[in-house]
Amino acid sequence: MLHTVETPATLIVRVAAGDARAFTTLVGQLHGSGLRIATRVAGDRAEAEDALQGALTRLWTEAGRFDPTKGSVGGWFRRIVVNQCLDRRRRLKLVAPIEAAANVASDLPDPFASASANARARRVDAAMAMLGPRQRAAITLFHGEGASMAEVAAALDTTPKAVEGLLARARSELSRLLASDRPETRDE
Amino acid sequence: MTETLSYARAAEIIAAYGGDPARWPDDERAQALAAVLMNPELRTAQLAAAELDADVTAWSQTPVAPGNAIAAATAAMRVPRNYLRWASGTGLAAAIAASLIVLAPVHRTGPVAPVAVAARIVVSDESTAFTQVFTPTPDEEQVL
Repeated sequence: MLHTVETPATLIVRVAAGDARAFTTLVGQLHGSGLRIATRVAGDRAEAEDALQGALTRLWTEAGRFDPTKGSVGGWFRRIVVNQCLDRRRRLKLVAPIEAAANVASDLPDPFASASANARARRVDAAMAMLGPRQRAAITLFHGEGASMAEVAAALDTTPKAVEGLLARARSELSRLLASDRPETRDE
Repeated sequence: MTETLSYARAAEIIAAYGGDPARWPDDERAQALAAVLMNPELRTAQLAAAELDADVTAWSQTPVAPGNAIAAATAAMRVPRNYLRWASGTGLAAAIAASLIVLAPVHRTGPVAPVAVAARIVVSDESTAFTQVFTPTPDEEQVL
């Protein structure tokens, strides 16, 4: 029996025509990475879920606007997710203190696994919370999703050169925060 | 022989792209690597950048608790497919224009040619008949 491969590129065409089953399949393919990106950029699970829901609504209502000549469905969806996160941050003007970020519960399934790795991860998490959402988005897309500089630029509606500067400042700030937060430099 | 980049540009690449040469710009990778080999400070910067890469990559890729994709898809489909189009600026503009067309005759203030005038129009030939019959009044032009 011949099975047709349901790639995002073929599914989006059917979604644009109003195919609910194709949409559910497409969401199944994009939901995991979308939630991961939204969680990293928003820095808050509930906020990330709201942003992702907004992105999925746009995917459903505006599938007809997808232009395959401008990139992949995944790239287009990443852009929608990031924009939803940034828009929500602009509206809410959330500020997360580093102390609060250190107390955020881990998303890892097993909280007792790899204790030292988790400690390091929590410090990185706390430092990340100090960065701006656009800086977190650039790091998430470039390092986490393996996106090219051009793809990150497209997601952030800017130029690759501007993303270079954004990433350089983010990494520099992150290095400074992690260095100042090293256990050996603490008083305790 | 590979031409090397300036120290400043090689440092910029490491600062932005990290310590993994595979992520550096294709057109500058070889030159940047040559610069790193020739300069111990750049080599130190590359090693420090690679250490940070490991941290940010681990942070970016830490799995998050899965959400309910089917429920999310179902919720998204509750929004009518043309809802956002009408909520957008273009949609609002179209809606306002449509309401003006509907409401404009009610607020008409200028003189309107009576039907009897139209009845007196003499159609000279078929080529001009359409424009004579459908030539809008000044009020109608505003609406259109």
